[in-house]
Amino acid sequence: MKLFGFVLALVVATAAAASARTMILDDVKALSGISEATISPDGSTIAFILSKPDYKADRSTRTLMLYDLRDSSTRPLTSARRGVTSPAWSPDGRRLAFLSVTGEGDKAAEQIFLLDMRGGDAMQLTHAALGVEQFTWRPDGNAIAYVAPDEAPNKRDIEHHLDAFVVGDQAYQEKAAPTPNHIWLINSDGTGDKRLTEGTWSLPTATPPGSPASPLSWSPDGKSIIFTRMPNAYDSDGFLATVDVLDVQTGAIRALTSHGKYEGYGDFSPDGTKIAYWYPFQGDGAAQNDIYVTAAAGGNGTDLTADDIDTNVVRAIWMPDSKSLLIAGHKGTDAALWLKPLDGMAQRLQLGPVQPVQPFWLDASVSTTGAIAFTASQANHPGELYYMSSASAVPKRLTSYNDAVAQLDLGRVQPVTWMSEGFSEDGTLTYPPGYDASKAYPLVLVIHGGPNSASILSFSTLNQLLAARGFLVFNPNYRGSDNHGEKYWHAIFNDAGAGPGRDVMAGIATVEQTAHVDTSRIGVSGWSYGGYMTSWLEGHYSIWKAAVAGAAVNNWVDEYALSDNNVSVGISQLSGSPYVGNNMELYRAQSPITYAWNINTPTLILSDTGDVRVPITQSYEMFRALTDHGVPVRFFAYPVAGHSPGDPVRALDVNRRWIGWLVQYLKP
Amino acid sequence: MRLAIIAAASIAALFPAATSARTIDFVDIRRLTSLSSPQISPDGKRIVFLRGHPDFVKDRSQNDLMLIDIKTKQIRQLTFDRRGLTSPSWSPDGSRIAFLMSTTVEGVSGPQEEVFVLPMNGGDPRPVTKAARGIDGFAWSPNGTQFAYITQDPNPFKKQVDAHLDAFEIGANDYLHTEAAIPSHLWVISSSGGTAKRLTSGPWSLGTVDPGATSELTWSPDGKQIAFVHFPTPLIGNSLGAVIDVIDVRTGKRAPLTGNTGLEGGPDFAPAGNAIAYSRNTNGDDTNGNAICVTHPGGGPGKDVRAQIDRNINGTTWDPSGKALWLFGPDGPRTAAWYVSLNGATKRVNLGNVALSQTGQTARKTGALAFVGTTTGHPGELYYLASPASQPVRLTNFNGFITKLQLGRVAEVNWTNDGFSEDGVLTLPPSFDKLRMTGHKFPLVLVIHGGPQSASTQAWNSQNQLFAAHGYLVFNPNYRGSTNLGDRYQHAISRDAGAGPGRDVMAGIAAVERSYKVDKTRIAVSGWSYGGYMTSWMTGHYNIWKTAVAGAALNDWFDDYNVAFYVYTDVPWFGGSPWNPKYSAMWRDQSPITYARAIRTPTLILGDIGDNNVTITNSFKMYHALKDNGVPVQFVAYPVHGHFPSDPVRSEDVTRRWLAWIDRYLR
Repeated sequence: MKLFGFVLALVVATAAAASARTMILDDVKALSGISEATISPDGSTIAFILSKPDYKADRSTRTLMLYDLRDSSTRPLTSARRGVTSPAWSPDGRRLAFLSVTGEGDKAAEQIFLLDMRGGDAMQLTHAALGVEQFTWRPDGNAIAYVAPDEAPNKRDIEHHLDAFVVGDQAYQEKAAPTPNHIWLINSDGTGDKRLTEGTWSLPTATPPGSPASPLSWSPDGKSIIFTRMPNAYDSDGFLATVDVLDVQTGAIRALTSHGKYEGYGDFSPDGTKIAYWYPFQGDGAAQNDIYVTAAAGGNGTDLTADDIDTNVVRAIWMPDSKSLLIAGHKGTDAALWLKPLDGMAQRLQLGPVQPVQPFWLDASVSTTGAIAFTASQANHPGELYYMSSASAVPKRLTSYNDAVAQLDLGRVQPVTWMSEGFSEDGTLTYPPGYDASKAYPLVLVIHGGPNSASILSFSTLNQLLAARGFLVFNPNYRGSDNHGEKYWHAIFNDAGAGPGRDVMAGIATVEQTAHVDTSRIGVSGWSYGGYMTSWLEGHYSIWKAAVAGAAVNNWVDEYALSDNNVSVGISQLSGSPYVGNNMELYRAQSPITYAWNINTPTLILSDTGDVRVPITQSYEMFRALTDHGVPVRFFAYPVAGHSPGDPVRALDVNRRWIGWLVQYLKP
Repeated sequence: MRLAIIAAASIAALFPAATSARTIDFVDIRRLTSLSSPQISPDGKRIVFLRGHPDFVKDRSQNDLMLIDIKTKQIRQLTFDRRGLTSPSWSPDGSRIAFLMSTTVEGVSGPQEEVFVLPMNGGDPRPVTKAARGIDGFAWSPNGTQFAYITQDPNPFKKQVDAHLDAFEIGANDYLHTEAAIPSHLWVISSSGGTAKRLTSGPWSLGTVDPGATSELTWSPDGKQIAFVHFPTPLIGNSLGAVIDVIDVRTGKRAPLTGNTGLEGGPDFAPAGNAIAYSRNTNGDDTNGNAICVTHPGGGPGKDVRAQIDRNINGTTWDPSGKALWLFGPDGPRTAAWYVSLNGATKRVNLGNVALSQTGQTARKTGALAFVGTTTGHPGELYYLASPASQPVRLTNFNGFITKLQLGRVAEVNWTNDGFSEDGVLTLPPSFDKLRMTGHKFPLVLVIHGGPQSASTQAWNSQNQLFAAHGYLVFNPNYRGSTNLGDRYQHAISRDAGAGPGRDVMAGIAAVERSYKVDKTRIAVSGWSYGGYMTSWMTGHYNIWKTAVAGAALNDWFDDYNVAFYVYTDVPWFGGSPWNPKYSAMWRDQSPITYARAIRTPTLILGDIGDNNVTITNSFKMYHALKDNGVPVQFVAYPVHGHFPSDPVRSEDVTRRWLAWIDRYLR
């Protein structure tokens, strides 16, 4: 369940070059993205998506690829298809389903395609008017359940411009009332397309950045589907989601538990006896996410991960024995995996320097043999496909798409740890290539978003680009990060800036003891909640020579009233609505804009005009305040939708401007 | 110059017909013809004007160019099925009519507005300009051989933008901008077409983008100079610095007209001599009304010729002698015209019960004037005024059918409050006289005008009539800040955006209650734009309301400054930036959202998603505030650009929802 999903989503992927050269912006253009590692049921092959940026057309070309573990060969499965995503093996492994975009303009929609692995073109299975959100094979392989949005009931009126709509808890730029998503069933030969659910309630829609929409899960006998049910189609009311069970035959729906909210991601165990699902620790909407397991018949079950894992879980995958789950979450400066038996202590997998990709969701799959395929990076190697033959095996890198960048003279990355107000905290420090301890270096902070995320020892394009320009680059974690358990996670609730700010300052003090920092040249930067932290730190400390605030949360009231999270801000971040009681004072006190008149740091502001996660209104507010206060400030906006530019050209432009501003003021 | 935050929903563009004793309904409004852009011919014998009909199937209005012979009142249609026709203008010798029309220019995507010339001795209109970004405004040269025109520069970043390197730098623009604002500049072209010549260039502009405020263009009578408004940037947010420049057409030499530092607009060369009239807020204070000054190039600021009138002037035209000016503006609860001689004599023209809605220029030969006018019982028609001493004559009867319906009578309401003599307009239900005898108590609906620099006056008002037909007394109060009672009154809203105006309105209600039997348990408050501000303010401060409709309501002054197009033009109203701790409290204390917790009135909120004037952010805040406090609220948004839906279908939908909501609680 997505509650508040900010992420520093600038890492496109990774790239090419000669030996002892340091990284430059153009190297980013050679980076490939590897994702959606999908191992076949028998564990012999792995399907995945290879994404290559095309800077001329300014899009990424996505190709469905197949890695064959038997002979270590790789080959493309799709050719010239658009927006390929969501590969899913049929249970017998003979067919591979995926989503791809068909149609042009506003008719463009994702549909399910089927590839027969005995050979042959992919067949378009669905023709859903507004596209397919997600799908899952029925265990017998003869049908697929999928989720698709309903068409607007007043479609004809809308065509005649009677398109006024009743606004609910939705983002401020939307131009229609959302329509509900519902479950459909189609035979895998394309016949028998039929609706399974209907009503004003809805299944969730993915709202990136964040976890994917809660997937459907079939019972092994094919009689039931677990799904996540929201009370209406307004995404922001999604905190009222419950895990429900649909009887496919009768259409009867029952709630799995008695919680009534905050649930999602229900998943049948392979033997069908149990269901794992997401629910926050102790049912507190501001708490980290735990995995609960209950009987298939229902009931609340028990919290499986509270004690020996105690981290925000971003995914739980049943192991084939139905007796344990593969659990993923941040732990310190690592992306960790655990094998968690239903009755026993969790065992952490030994991954060495390998960092599975997991902000909000572990990109991994498990075969019936218990083998694990996943995507991961290392501090000095961008993302690739990885494999473990079992949970106890050593991870093996299967691909080399980004070797060229890995072979550059990259900056060394080390964890930094410190204590602050009783918390054991950490972050990562990237050194300039060729770092010489006898020289003082300017320091740049790049603070992660979320806030419920973490900076770990994974590959970071921006860090490396900055380090190559001669900066020490510090990625501090801070209370609210998701890498040190519930207490740490929870500590940011109603303390959005002050506590986290002190954490970061304590981290800087440690960095200054660790590396040779020129304390007269320190820059602070970040995107999203990292932008919040940037604005907050500018307003409360005056050690900064320059700042870059991307998509910064500057005003909690705007987040509450305008963003796609809106009312859930009053659950997960601050207690309640700003318009009730004296809450406005709380919202104001925790908003960086309230302290804008204290700021004297030259600031670069960046944002997308179409960002609904952090509405651009907040960047305008900060820009006006700094301008009126006479602070050097420039504000560049990207005329695109989304929380950060997703296309190659603009994403690179963000990095270029970010680095350029810091270089201009910190003169490395 | 402050652009009005909005006149009250100008729903008056549409209208109707029917049988005898029936009251008015939406079907009647749909039948209304709207008239606009009246221009009298130089010889004073004919008037060209635009006739508009709403097309509810295509959801647009069709404007046709029409010609009327003043003597015979014969009307002839001059254009057929042309799109986007605006701004008709006679050539100085009366042999041709130029206008703007939508057309497709070779090599440019999408239709553009270009200058066309229609010969009045027969023949199709011929295109003159081929400006890639269309024409924002134009003017005939005095001898009719040239046009001066304004067009936007090409985007200097086009190549980068095409390559998606389209990040743009933010300045005093609103938050709906998705590209850098490009300036508009001045060109001249032969009136028979050909190659155009650029006269100005630079980062400054002769207009603003979205909303497009475009400079007036005025030639000196000898054709050697052009005066225009020089905006510091193409953004409204910087427009306080707008001044008039005069350029020498031959040399391109350009100089400011007066030495003032801003707030100038509406330059107009006198037909003889080198006098120029222009508008500027009294004493250069943006929170005062528009004064009209007369000077000459190099002559400094000149003299305020409307000082003794002390009214906000929203239109002027020269008498052909160049020795007198017509001034137009609201005066108390009516619209007025004044005839002001430069030697000081001022005459208020007797318009009877006719309200001015659009005026043109005087006829060069006769000094006569054509205008579109209404009465409280008759929608817009074309009128003719031979001289300041004569009575207006109605020339057309496009909308006479409406007078056969049972309409609501309109009365004036007067009161005093806080030392001001104030007024408003009250529309009575058609059933008023019948019901009054029975002791009936009437439900009361307030529809408060926007602006706030605007005024409710006695004129045709479709919305008031539709509402009155449902049995309501409909009250349009004026309040301090309105433009109809002079500078002191208009200025009084400065630094007192809600409290004073709120008391004015409450005093107005008391005045209505003194003269009419009001059912005090059934009072509704409503308005659009600043009328929405007033609505939110009133529901937050008084508890007499049964229901409310807040359209495009300004609820948070911070949004007005930060994300709407106003930006720095808001500063004079509060004295300083809202982010400066010295002024923050004032901006907050005068924002209705600050008092939202006190609201208990069931409220319908309406707004356009793409409104850059009063941004929809204001409505989202109020929606959450009401909902979170358990107040019945419905928020309906229109997925369109603009401050009010301008197309026939959506604009009617606004009024329908507004009335239905009030009916639900009051009827």
